[in-house]
Amino acid sequence: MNALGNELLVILPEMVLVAAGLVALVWAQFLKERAAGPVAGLAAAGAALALLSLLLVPDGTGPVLFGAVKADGFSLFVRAVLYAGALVVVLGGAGYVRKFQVPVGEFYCLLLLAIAGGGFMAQAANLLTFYVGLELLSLASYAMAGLRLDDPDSNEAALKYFFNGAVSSAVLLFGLSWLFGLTGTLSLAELGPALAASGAHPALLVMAVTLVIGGLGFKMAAVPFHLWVPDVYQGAPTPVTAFLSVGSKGAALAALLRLFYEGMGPLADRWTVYFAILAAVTMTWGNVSALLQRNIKRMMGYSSIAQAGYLLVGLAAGSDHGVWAAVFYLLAYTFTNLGAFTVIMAVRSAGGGLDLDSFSGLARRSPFLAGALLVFFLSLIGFPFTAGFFGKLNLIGAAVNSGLVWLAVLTAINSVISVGYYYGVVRNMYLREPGADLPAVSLEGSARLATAVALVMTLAVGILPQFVSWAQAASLLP
Amino acid sequence: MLGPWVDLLVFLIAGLTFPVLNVVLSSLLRRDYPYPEKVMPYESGEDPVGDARVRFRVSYYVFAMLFVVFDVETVFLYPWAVVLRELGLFALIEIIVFIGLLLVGLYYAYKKKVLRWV
Amino acid sequence: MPLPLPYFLVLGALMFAVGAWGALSRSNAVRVLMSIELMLNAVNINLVAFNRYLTPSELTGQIFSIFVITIAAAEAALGLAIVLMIARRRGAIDINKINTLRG
Repeated sequence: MNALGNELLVILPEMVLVAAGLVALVWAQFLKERAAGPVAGLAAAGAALALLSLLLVPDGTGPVLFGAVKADGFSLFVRAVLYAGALVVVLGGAGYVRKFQVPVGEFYCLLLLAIAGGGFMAQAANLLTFYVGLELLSLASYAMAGLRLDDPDSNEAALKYFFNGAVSSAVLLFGLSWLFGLTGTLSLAELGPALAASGAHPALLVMAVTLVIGGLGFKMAAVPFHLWVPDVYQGAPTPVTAFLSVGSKGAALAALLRLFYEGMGPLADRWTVYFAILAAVTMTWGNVSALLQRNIKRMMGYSSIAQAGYLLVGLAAGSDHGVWAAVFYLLAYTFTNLGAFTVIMAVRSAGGGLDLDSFSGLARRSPFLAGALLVFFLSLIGFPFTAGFFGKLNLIGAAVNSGLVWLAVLTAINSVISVGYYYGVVRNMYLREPGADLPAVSLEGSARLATAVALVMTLAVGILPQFVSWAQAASLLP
Repeated sequence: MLGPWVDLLVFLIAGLTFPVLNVVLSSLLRRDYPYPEKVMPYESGEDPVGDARVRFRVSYYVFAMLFVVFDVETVFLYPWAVVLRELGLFALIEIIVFIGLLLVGLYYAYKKKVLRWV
Repeated sequence: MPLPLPYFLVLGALMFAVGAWGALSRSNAVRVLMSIELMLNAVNINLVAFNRYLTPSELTGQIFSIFVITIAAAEAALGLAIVLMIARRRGAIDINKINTLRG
C-alpha cells in the first residue's frame, strides 16, 4: 500500500487539478452572480498548487500505476509548462470572463480538467492513458469553445470544433487500434521493439502511422489538418482561444514526441521525413495566410499554425537535440503567446474590437500594454534577447545536426515572413493616432500580474541559460 | 468444407423461419374480424393523435443525457464487481472515487434544476 | 474452427469507411454524429478482434474498447448538447448553413 501511495504521488498534480475543477463547478452554483472573483481565485490556486505539487512527484523512469504513467524528466517539464500556462490563462482571462459573462463555474472547471488531460498525455506510458488524456482535453475544449451561449460566433466555433475534432479523434483511434494489432501491446516502451520485430507488411504500418499523425496533427493545428483553426480561434471566447493555442498544442506535441521518439525511436529514419514535410508546409502556410488577416484572433490563429510548424522541426530532427529544442521552444512559445493573448483580452475587455484597427494608438492609450505586446511579438518573430530567439536557434541547430539544412533555412525565412503581419499591429500601436471612439485601456490587477509574469518569463527564458539546461534534462531516453 | 459457416447458416434459417411461421400460422388459425378500434396503432392505451413524426420535448433529451452517464457507469462497475475479491481494498477505493466524481456531476445537474420536470 | 482474423478487420475497415463517408458528406448534424459513432464502433471491432487473435491471454484490447465506449457516450452527449444549443438559436441543424465565421 505504501508503494502504491508513492506511485499515486506521480499523478498528484492532476488530482489537484481535477479536485479544484470540481469544487469550482459546485461552488459557483452557490455563489451565483458573485462567483466570478472567488472562483477565479480558486482556479488560480488550483493551477498554482498543481505546479507546486510537481515538486513532490518522485523521480523515476519506469512506468508506474500498472504501467499507465511515467514520471520522467520529460513529463515533469511539459507538465510544468502546461500548468504554468493554465495559471496565466486563469489570471489573464478573469477580467474577460466577468465582462462577457462566460459561465464561471463551467469555464474554470473545464479549463482545469482540460489541462489535466494534457498532463496525462505528457506522462502517458501506454496508448490507453494517452487516448483518455487526449479525449479529456478535447471534450473539455469543445465545450469551452461554446461557453458564450448567447454569442452565435461562439456557438458556431463549438460546432465546427466538435465535428472536426470528433472525426479526427476517431481517425486517430483507428490508427491506434492498428498499432495495437501490429504489435500486440499498448505499452509505449514495448511498441518500438515489437514493431521492429513484426513481420507485418510495411504498408500497414504506414497506414496506422499516417492515421495517428492525422489525428494528432489536428490537435496541433498542423497543415493540412488546420482548417478549423481560424474559425474556432475567432469564435471561441478569447481566454479559450488562448488556452487552445498553447494547451492543446503543447499536449499534442508531447504526445507526438512520446509516441514517435520514445515509442518508435528505432524506426526514426522512416518517419522523420513525414514530420520534415509537415513542418515545412505548416510554417509556410500559416505565415503566408496570417499576412492576409484583418481580425487579430484569426491572425493569431494562423500565427499559431506557423508556430506549430516550428515545434514540429524538433520532431523532424528525430534526435535528442530535437526533443529538447522542441520542448524548450514550447516553454518559450507558451509564455509569449499567452502574454500576447492577455494583452488582446485586456483591449477587448476595455470595449475595443478585434480587428487590427482597434490597436491604433495603443501606445498612447496604455504604454505598458503596447510595450508588452511589442516584446511578445518580437519573441514570436525570434528577435535576440527574447525567449523565441533561443527557441528557434536551438530548433535550427537540431535540424542542421540531423542534416536537414533546407528545413533550417526555411525556418529562418519563415521568421522573416512573420515580421510582415506582426509589424502591421505594431505600426497601428505606435505610429497611428488612436481613433476618437477607442476607449482608454486600464488593466485589472490579475491581468496585470499575468502580463508581468509572461513578460518576465519571455525575457528570462531568452537571457538566462538555466532554462536550456533544464530543457536538456527533459530528454526522453532514460 | 463449410466449417464455421454452418452455424451461421443454421442461425440465419432458424431466425427467418420462426417469425414467418408464426405470422403465417396465426393468420391461418384466427378469425378475420377487423373493426376500427382493432386496426388502430397501439400507443399504451392512448388515442393516437396526429403524425408520429412530431417534435419531442427538449426535457427528454436532458434526461437521456443523464441516463447515458449512469448507463455507461455500469460498463466499468460490472467488470470490477466480477473480480472484486481479487482486487481488494485499493480497487474498492478507486470505484468509490469514480462514483463520487459522477455524483458531483449529478449534484451539478440537480443544482441546475435539470432534474425537475417542467 | 473460428473465422479467421481478416474477416473482422475487413468488417471494421468497411464500417469505418462508411462512417467516415457519412461524417464527411452529410449535412444534418445528427446524421454526422451517428456516423462518428459508427467510426468508433469500427475501432471497437478492430480492438476486440486483435485482442482475441493476438493476445488471447490478456484483456488489453477489450479494456481499451470499454474506454472507447465510454468516451463515445460522452462525446455523443456533448455533441447533442452543442447541436441542441444551435437548434434553439437558429432553428436548423444543417451544418453547411452555419458559416458566418470566415475570412
